[in-house]
Amino acid sequence: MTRDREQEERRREGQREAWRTRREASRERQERGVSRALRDRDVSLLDLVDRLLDGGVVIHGDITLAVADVDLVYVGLRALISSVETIERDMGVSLSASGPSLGASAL
Amino acid sequence: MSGGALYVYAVTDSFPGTAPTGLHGAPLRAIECGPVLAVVSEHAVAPDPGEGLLWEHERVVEELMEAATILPMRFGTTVEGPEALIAMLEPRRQELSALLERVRGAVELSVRAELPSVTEPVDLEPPPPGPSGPGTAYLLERAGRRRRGEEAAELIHRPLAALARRSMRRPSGGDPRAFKAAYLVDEGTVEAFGVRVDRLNATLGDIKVSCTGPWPPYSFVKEKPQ
Repeated sequence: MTRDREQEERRREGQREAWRTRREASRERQERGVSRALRDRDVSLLDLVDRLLDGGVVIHGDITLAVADVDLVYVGLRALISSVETIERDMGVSLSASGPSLGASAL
Repeated sequence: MSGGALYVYAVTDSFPGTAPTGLHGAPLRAIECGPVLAVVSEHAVAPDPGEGLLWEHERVVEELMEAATILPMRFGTTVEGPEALIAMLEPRRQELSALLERVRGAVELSVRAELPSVTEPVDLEPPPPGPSGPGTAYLLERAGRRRRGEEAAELIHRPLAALARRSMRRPSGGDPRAFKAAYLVDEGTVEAFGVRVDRLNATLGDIKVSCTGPWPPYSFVKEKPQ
């Protein structure tokens, strides 16, 4: 019973750690920009780009406002992402992250 | 406000009392449209695009998700003002309410894997009777690879989808080796999902399965499952 709880706490701690890693990666990127050595957590960037640029509710319909230059962002990031994916494949870099990180949102 | 723009983050049905700050520290506010609310911030000039903005956008949406059920908007959704926004949301009130119910209490988990079968030599099946040459062998080999890739994908997808409220395979972008999928998982099931990913990694040998999240439900906000 106590051991179960210990294991449970270790698991939770591990997930919190993974969650922090992602947030830190985000912060680091904002500070340093995108040109860095490829690391496992780049997986999060790939997932982020897939979701933000391909997912989400689209409300514009026919009314396209070019306010945010999103098309340009999209093209630039797509190029970045496909190069990251190619590097991953060619170098056989492993995609890590052993499980979903449990954020504060999953109460 | 002339010249300004509203940047839209999410649709929700309850605006959190302690809302996070928006892009560039701009305050968030809610624009009501019947039962649904759009969470926006106002910007005199459009935010500078770039990777940093993606993460900043994600931070805002994740913080909203911690306090409320939300439908994340596509990144970069910007409208001229409240009236334009309401005009766009009004015809879709019912749809958006239904989508909020679909994702309530759930989060999105992302799974990727690289399927190795395509890069490995494939045993060719015996050629069928009739004229057979290098072209046929090539086509057979290609079909065999594709089938093996698909079988490997199913080994990953099926046990994970069984834990999810909804799931979708994402397009692999033309790379038959890439497996990408999204799972809408009850908050209480996230840990079990992680355990199952671990187990897949332990049993699938050379296939590395990676999982990130919880994400806002970006992949589950369309009327029909993709």
